[in-house]
Amino acid sequence: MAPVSFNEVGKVYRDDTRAVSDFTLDVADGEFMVFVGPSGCGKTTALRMVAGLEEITEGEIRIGDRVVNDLHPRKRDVAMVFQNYALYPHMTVYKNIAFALKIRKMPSDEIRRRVEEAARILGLTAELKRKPAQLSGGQRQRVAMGRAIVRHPQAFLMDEPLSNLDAKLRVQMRAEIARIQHELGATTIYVTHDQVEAMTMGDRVAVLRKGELQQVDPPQVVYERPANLFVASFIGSPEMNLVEAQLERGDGGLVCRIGDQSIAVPDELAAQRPGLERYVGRTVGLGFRPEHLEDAALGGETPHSGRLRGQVVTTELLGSELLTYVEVDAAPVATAEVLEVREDVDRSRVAALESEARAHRTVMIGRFDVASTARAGSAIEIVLDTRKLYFFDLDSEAAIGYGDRTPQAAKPAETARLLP
Amino acid sequence: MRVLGRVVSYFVLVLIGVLGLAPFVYLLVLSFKSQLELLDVPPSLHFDWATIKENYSTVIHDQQYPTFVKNSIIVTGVSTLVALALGVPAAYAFSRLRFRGSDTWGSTILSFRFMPPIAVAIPIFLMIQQLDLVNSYFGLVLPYIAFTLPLVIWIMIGFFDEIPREIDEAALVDGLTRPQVLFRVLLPLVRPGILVAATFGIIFIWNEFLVGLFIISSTDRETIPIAASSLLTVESPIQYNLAAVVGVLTVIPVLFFAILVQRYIVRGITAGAVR
Repeated sequence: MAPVSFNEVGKVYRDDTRAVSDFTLDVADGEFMVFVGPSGCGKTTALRMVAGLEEITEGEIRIGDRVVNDLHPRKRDVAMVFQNYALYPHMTVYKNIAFALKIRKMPSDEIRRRVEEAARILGLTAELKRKPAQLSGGQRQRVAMGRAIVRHPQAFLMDEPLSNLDAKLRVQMRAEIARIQHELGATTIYVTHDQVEAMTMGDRVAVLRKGELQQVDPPQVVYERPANLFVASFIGSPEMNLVEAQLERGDGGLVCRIGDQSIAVPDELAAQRPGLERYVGRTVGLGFRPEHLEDAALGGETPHSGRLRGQVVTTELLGSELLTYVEVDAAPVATAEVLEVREDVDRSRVAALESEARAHRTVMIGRFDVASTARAGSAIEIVLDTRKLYFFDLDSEAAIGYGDRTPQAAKPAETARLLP
Repeated sequence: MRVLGRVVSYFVLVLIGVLGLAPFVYLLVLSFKSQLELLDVPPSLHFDWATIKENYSTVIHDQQYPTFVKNSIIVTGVSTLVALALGVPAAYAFSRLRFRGSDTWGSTILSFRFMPPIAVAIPIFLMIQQLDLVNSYFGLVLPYIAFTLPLVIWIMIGFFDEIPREIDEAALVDGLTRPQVLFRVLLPLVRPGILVAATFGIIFIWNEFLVGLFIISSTDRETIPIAASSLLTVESPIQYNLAAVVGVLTVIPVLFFAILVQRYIVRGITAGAVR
């Protein structure tokens, strides 16, 4: 196993389209690093450059202490798991897994030992004599994993390995891959567009947008302290509510004016966000997560609660919670980054957000307790936990007030949950 | 109603089958007759074993038929093998690699195949003459490779295109070089394609007549189609029954071959580029 480091790596295709720019990142030895972002953000390109399947046009990539820019893929000693598994259809499971070892002319009893070991870890022992066509999607995925495991490579590279599986299997394999990775202590770069995978699997998450690194941090940090509007709206499901607010100084401290309503910013939060002072009298992007909203009728009000009135648009009862869409009289945040995240989900959501912006109405999503009686069309009052507010500069789209900590300043040594 | 539909469709299919088979049956019948019987009106279906034996042994023994077969097999075999050996890797390159003009060349290559042989027969003859290869196997093999190669490349590009690139990439990461990827991983996967390409090539070369006629000048180098035609033109009076024997003997090897590989051809045609 070895660390993988990107140093000002860039990728420009022959037709002059730029896929990755100025990408600098260190993946520690044994770390599970997730690259996440919407389609076309350059995450797969970055991964393929490590594998040697894509030429590195700028900067350098190191695996261990070797610069691999000009090395043929077979000399990089990395293993890759592909989205469509890329199993060799004419070979049995055993041969698929053993293939790379056979090429390296490993003695056959050692090959047998390793393949059987991998099959045991992956629960494929009964399948060894079958061909890929006879396997289910989940089993194929495991074979692809097995092919990587037996290599004992410097690093595992995984390119959306779960996206072809159905939802239930995906959840199961998610846990399984994470478990195997921990067992092997293997340096892993995992590419996904699914932010749930990013949150649940990675030691650290690297969020990419248009080929540029937005933030590299452990999942919880990315969730709690998103570096900018892009990360804030991309990470989290349902996504963060973002509304335009006027920041003012009230009697007791800072106050956010949301349309004709207002919310007090707790002093302790203001103290944690020294940068906020400069925004007094200006419009900022105000964000809060769905889980920090609750139906006011259920009580649960604390000294830190703010209140907002709105109109229920629709509700979704999920059994454990009631997702409630509440329309509030204020303009939504509709900057380029937010629109881009929406577009990645669905084009129609861009139009929806734009029309909301024109009408100065914001639809917020709250995860209410199922006891809530909120029904579509009725007026509602919601309480929100003001200690969990996020503030964004609407011009630079950056988060306001984590001191001078820039997103990329996070060094692996500070933040990586290092493995045993 | 449904029964009637079936009856009609079977009737049509049988009719088509009979129409398709009729010439072969006629050829077979002709080859069983003596020179005199050919002129019988109405034609009889009376066969005489002695006549059949005489016809076939005349062609096989007196007319150097084994030589023609040998020539055909050598020329067809060598041309097809070389065309495959060159065409399969070329198709792989066209399918996978981006190089200067790769798109243009990919489509240009097929257009070579559109050229009618008669348009190039004389230039080819002159070139072969310049190379001093007239009336040699090599003189036939070279143009046949040139004719077959575009077809092989084009068919194989289709088959390679159907294999996901990730298979190549997985093999590269697993430790193979590009050529090893082709030979160790992809060749087994495109085997149906190779069979299709080989079949098209073999049938074309086996039947090729025009270019052969220009290049071959002595009987002992003639391939079967050329030999069959000289039998009709050189001999006088024309012995239709013997010509028919040559026809039968020409068709039989290709027929057997086609039956042998038809499973692959059908699969190949439905799976590959030849649609």
